[in-house]
Amino acid sequence: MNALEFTGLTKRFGDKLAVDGVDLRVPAGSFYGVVGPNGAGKTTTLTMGVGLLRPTSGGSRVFGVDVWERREEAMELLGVLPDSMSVPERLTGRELLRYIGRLRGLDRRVVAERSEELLDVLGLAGDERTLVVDYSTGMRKKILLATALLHGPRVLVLDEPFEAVDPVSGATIRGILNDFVAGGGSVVLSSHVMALVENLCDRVAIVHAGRVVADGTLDEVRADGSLEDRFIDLVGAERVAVRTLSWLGER
Amino acid sequence: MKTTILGLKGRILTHGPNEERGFALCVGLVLAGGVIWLARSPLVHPDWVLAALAGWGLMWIIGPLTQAGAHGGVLRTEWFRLLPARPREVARAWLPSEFAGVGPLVTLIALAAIVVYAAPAGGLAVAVAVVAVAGQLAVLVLLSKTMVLLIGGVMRTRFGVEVAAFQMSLMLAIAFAGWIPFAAPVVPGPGQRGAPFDLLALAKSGLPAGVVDVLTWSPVGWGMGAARAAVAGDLGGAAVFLALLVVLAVALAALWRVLMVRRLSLPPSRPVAATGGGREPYLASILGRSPVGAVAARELITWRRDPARALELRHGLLTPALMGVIAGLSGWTWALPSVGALIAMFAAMASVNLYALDGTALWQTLLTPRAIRADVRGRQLAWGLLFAVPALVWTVVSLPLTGAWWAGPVAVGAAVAGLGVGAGMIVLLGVTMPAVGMDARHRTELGQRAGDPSGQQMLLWIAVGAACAAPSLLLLLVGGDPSSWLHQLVASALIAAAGVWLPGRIAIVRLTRGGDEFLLALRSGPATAAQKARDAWRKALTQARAKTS
Repeated sequence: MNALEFTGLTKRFGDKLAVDGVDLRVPAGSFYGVVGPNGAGKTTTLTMGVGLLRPTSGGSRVFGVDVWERREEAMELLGVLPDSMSVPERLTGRELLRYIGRLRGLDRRVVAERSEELLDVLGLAGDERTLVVDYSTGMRKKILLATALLHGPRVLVLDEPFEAVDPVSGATIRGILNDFVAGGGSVVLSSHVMALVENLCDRVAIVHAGRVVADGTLDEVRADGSLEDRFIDLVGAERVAVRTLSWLGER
Repeated sequence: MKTTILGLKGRILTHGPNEERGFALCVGLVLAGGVIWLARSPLVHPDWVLAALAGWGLMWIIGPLTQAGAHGGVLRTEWFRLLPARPREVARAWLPSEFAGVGPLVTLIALAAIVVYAAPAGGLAVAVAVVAVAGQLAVLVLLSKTMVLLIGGVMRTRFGVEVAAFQMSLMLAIAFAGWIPFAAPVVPGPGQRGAPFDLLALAKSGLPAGVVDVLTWSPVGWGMGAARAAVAGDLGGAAVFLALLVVLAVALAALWRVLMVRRLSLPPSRPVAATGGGREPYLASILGRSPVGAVAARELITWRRDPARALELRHGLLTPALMGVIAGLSGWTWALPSVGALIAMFAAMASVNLYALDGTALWQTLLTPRAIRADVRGRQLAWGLLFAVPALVWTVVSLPLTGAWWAGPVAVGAAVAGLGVGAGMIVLLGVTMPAVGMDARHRTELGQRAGDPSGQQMLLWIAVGAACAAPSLLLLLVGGDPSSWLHQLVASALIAAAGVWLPGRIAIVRLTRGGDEFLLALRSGPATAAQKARDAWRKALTQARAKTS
């Protein structure tokens, strides 16, 4: 059974084809990495896949449940951390979790206990009076991860979850995600840090110019070399040709 | 560097967005034309020119307060911090650019009224008037820019929000109810007649001597003071006023430079939201048990902590209250019960852009099962607690206080129906006509672009105003009695229930079916929205041309 399945996802903004027929199958219990250069279409693909952006064509299913046809059912299964979006900004971290918990109709005591644990583990418990609007980028990623985890989803879709997160918190998040997968959960995350994806994920897709140019298990995709070598091969070697500035260094 | 900074400002101004500036220019030109007309008209006493110019000057002082300081200007100090030039040099080069813009331009045209006033008195008076115009312009612009630097820090605080809210509410109240003190002596109450009103005599007679003295000797009146002295042949007096203008302008320029150097020397920092998290309001804590209650609780907290909303909350309540004060002081105490209905209208106007203000936070509502209904109804519930409760309490309490029991049924009916329709329309217009500005996560303080919903506010003004009149009209139509408590309560309750439910239902359906498109519009931000509008306009033009050819 696939935890998440994108079929022919395509998105056109005016004349620009941002995502071009992406097919992706995330088996249940896998840790799936989506890598690609800036502007490759990773965020647009994931945003369509979770039902926040209507695709020009194609579809998306969570455990076989169509995210557009049976929206509410799909949402029960998903936990999402989007990139560059607001939350109710004038709440503190704890208030945000309490709000999301109550909005989902979770039991008050359960929300209180989980919030306490999430804030503590993610290192946000010391910022009781700080509003989310005043959070740093890293703190924002962590509180968004907490809101994605709060209701105990079966699939996590995380857009750049490690961006601007400090190394200690990064290790904590890796631990949480590994435990989640070990417990039967499935994770899809996007990143452009190859080493991170290579360390964490068992399956990888490389996205370039709106298309999936390689996907499969980590070993299948990277073949004999490193993921970074394979990525550079597929995305275009000319990008890394070393160029220098003629005037820099002249005195 | 002077020309570079001036050129930079000119380039930014021409790149736009210029909708607001264009509007300000048009309004400014009309008003400036009005002041010049006052100076030319033989029917108007020169005191009124003095009063008009003093009012104009006052706007320069109030301006920085209402704009809430923060990052008001076109140029930002942080752009110049890393230049290999001392702050003192940057400040010196910056000063001329403060005189470039719509404000100084229309002020210069308005001040030309001084020259128009002095013209019949001959060349010397005109020469004095020209110097007076230059001096007065310099004083007004420098006074305003110095205030911006002085209060910039204050406006980021809670106190700043209160000051800005009161100023703006007072101006709005005067704009809407400023006519009452003039009308009250003519019509002291419904059906009563007072003294006749003679505008012409008022225009010819001028102002009381005390008022003229205060205006002439305040810095906003020195320019006109110099011209009046010159016209009267008192060149010594004219010289004193001109000297005062020059001395104050030089002093203000020096103070501005000191403050600017200090601002340029400060390390850059991201502003922090003015209102930190504290205890959850009691009401929010007891509300938040159901999903609707959770949203209402979130809303109550956000109304308190988001400076843009805190400002709107105060406008929505203070403006009608101040209009009531103006009416009461003018002797129209019988009008006080209608303030409840006014609160419905102003509160709806203040709350029309909530979805755009919260921006992309909508994603969480879209991805949470059954949350869309909770979001719409929760917003309505919080709005009702914040605005409907005070509006109804005011209406009911004002009846025994004013003794205007006869107005009770109509006033209560108008308030109930207006509040109901207001609670519905804010969510409906919020999701169908958002004025998208800076996204919520980037708005830490007042004065940052939060979207301009003026058009939607006009629409709401009409819709809620009509709703206030609806119970009485409906009763007349079906043969009921508008002065009956029972009839008014039944009619207004029905209208209010439909007003809350139906637009709310449409908003829920719209978010359920097109929430993703709405989110995309909120993500695109104001620049793209304007771009889309321009593209659509161009496309329509091209199609029209193709059809005609």
